[in-house]
Amino acid sequence: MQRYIAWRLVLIAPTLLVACTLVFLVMRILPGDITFVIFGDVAVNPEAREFLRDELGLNDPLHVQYGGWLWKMVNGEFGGHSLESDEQIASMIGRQLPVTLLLTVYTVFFSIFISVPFGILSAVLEGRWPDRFIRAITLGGLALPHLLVALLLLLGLLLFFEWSPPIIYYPPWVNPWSHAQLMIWPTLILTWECSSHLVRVIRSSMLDVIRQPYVVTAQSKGLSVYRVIVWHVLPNVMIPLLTMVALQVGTLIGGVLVLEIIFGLPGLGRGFVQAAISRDYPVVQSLAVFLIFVSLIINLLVDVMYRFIDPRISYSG
Amino acid sequence: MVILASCVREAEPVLPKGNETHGGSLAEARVVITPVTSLTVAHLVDRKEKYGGIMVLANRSDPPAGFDPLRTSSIALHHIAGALFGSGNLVARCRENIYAICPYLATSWTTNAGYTEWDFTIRRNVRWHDGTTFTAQDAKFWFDLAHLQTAIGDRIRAPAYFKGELGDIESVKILEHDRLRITFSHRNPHFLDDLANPRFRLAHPYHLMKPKIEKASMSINPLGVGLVGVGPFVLEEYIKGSVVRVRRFDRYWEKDSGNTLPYINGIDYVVIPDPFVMDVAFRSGRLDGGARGQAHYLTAERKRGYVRGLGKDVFFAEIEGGNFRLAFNMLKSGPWQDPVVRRAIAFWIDKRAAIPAALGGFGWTAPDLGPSHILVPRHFVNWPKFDTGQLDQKRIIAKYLLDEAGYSSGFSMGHLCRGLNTTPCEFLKAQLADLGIELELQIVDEGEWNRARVSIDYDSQQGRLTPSPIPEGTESVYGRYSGNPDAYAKHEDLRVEELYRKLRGALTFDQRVEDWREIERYLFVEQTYVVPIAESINVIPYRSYVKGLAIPAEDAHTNTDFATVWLEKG
Repeated sequence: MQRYIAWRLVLIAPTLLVACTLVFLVMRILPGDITFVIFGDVAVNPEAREFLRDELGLNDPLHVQYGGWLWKMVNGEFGGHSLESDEQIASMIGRQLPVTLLLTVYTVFFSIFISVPFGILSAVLEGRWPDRFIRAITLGGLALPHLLVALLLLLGLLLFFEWSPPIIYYPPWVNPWSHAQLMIWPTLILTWECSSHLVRVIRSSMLDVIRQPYVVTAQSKGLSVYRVIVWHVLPNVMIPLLTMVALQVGTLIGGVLVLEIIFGLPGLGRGFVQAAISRDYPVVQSLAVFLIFVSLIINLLVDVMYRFIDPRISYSG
Repeated sequence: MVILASCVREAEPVLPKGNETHGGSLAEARVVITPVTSLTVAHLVDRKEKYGGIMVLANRSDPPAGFDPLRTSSIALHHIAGALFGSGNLVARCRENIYAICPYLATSWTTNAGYTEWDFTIRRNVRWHDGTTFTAQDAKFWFDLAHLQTAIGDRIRAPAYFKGELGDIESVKILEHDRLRITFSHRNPHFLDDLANPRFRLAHPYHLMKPKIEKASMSINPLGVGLVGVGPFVLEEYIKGSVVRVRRFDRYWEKDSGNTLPYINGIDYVVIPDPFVMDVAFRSGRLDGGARGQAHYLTAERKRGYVRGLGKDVFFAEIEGGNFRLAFNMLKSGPWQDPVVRRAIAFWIDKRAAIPAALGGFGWTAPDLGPSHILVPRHFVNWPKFDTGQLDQKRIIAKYLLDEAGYSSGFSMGHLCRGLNTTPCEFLKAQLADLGIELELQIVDEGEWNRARVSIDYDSQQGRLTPSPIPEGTESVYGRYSGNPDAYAKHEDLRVEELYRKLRGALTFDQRVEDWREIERYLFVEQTYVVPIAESINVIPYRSYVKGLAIPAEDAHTNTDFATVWLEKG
């Protein structure tokens, strides 16, 4: 097990290097550069544009730019600084990541809290009205885009209560009431979607397990439904559930751009897309590599957790 | 609602008279230019209860480029920059009249007979937000950053994007008694007009930035030194992606009938990238004013929603938003090389229909300068006079011209389309389809649009919307491509250069008007390099209790210091 983990950790380095190279090249293929975005909507002297390109190092040969950025990735600067604002990228991530992490934690917590009982209920009462009702709700969660739900929600709050969520984001340790008033809405929307996935996974996994002979045996031994589900069914549902939760966490940390924009959350997703539009190369490259790193770590953790959930899984051979 | 609209049509533009006598001392040979109007807004102010309150405004994004006005003209910066850095440079556009020049960080100025030397006397009671006195050294430092390519070793700092607009600065020298002399290699009679551009804000304290640059921190920007400015509000807090909070600067120099400015205690600029969210926040009472910038300006439909929901609790500021146009790339081969074809297209397009269809319902049909422009009332030729007649008649002419040019069966033409707003592109495509011209829309994101519009890769484009209230300032968008890559139409017509040279040399108002009319006729009629379609109007909502706003009809960047605003909430 330890050798497996060590090997997976070693593999992260070449994976990140490949990712760095690909992200760097993709950014250079995109037309335009940040000088056009910085100068904005005005007529600019071409000489001034070239001077700025020189100043930002954009006229350096590609291998020099790549080498410089790669060095800054490993020397503790985490990619250097933003071409657009001159802000350190590490400081940008330090500012944006807590917002995204909080949203992720809230969403995952509420999703698991909701989806486990509803998934079980849906499976146990298969084909009856509660099952159909739960599936209809989850269908909406899977099908409706965040944008539409968020806009309808805001419109509903305005029209029915003449109220809208706060427009300035505060961390919970600064202003918990304002934080709650703002974060509850994107959390609800994301929870609807996330728990819809989880409910369906739990339901289908449980239906598979319930029909297994050992469950029938447990029932025929006279065990209560509660004991059968908790002790015999649920442990076997955990692996697909964990996989799905990990996927959702990866997606959420990657950022939920639309909701971050609509609810004014200064998170990673919004920062990432803004940097891409601005062609802020070091920021996009560094954030992409960071997100890839996070995904790799989450995958590794999930793989390790599989082992603890299901002792039959072995990484020794 | 009080909007100090600056439409004083009788006012002449401020053109200083150069001294024609060259004898005597240098000082005697200069003419002190008396400001046309003072900066006071006395008729607005007489009550102490105007003080206090925090105004909450939407801002469409974080200010780019580290809040550096030398780097960007983005309205996302300038909506905030006025409060932090002040409404002007050494001079400013007067609050009551955008075409007049008022003193700002300089109290007076002189020029020589040839308009090659301009001396400014620096205002003595101006302080940076950290308490340091503003001096001629600060002004020189700004001019040097703006027009020089500062270098430390092999590291360089790029000059300002508007370097060319400042003229051919030869040197900037500090004179005794806190005066500054700017010397040009060519005469520059319109220097004050240019310098009063509100985008040219002084946001670079010498005592904070110089040491950083000496340490080769070449890209240092105002954000990097804590946003220390000379404006009426001092930075309290900036949470990136969320809010910029500014609070009253108690040592701000400007007064209004003896009352110190600003009136309000502060402004919170909340970053709201989505216009729908801004609408909801405004209507639910979380905002006192809307954001400036494309997409955030109201459409007719959104404005109706505001009126329906808020009635008299809301008013709308209207600002000229720039021209919607079709411009041809003359440096790329195609049927549009033929002026007859271009003229046919100009006749064909239904310009009135563009206002509801492409401009959100607000606008007027005009070639470039709006009806409130100082050149308009006496001499200006409004758009319909360029192609008078009913649309049906004009379209018959258009068909005839296209046949005459040999394109009766039509042709296809590429069109650079900004992905941020595709509606005008779709309007043009639909219009030209009926003439047999297939407009192939090439929809691009902001990064590519910013690059492409200064390239010659596309057959046609619309250009950007930013207007210029100074006719001379339009050369950058109508001039030859080699010197003006951001020109809407890409051409190398020497005649255009010659016409602009003539305009810049005009010393009387009438001559200036006549020269501008000649340029218009050449560009829009004789050559039809550009087909002006309609001028857009940008609409910004404000709560009715927001008083004292000074928003000129011509430019969203002017008077964004909000120093004269007060909140009458009862």
